[in-house]
Amino acid sequence: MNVPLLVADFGVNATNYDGGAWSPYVVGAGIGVLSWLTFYFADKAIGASSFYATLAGFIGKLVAPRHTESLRYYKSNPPGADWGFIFVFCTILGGFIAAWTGGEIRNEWLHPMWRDRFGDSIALRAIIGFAGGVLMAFGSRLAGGCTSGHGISGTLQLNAGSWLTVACMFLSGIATAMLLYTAL
Amino acid sequence: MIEPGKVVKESSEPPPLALTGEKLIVAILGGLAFGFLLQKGGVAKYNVLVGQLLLQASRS
Repeated sequence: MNVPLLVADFGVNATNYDGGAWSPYVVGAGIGVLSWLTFYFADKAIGASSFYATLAGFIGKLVAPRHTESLRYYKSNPPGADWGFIFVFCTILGGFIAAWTGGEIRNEWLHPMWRDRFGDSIALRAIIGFAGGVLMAFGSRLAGGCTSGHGISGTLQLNAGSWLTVACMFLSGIATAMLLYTAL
Repeated sequence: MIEPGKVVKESSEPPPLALTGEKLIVAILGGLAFGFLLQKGGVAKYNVLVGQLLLQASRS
């Protein structure tokens, strides 16, 4: 299918690098059907961000068990191998299997598009990546969901809060990306 | 002003137990399928993620 390309000029063009192996329309439909199945068979929604809170709880219990157990979040959500934890653990595994079977495992620190824009510094990539990860984790827990929980499971249930959250995610994401690729 | 201690989501339900039976199988198979689909769709790729935020459509 020929899709007209809308390409804004930022010095680098994301479409010049390898994209997904499958059509995003097929993948999107597949994830929609998968969501039906998890609701039907397990009464659970697809989501990812609680995994990181659970993982932090596991680490907290190892490092500072009394403090971790005293936190209100972990009193009502004790860290354990619950639905969200096992689901996301297997998501990471599924992504690895897809990359492996598709011959896409690469031994590289920097994506070519990053290198073309920001240069060869691994430290810079690590700092930006870490800071972005912290903001994502904080924001998703503050909002009670991430691009999976709100973006997939919330929007398909026509949850108004999820639609608003996703709109804000993309608005702030677009602004940040354009700033990084023009101003800096 | 928001007080962090008062906005933490609390549940009146008992703490979740470890998954068993059908839900465990759905979590495993569902997670594997989700990760597989995301990677095949290109969502694990830097240029696909950043490209959409730069409003540069990716090739399919």
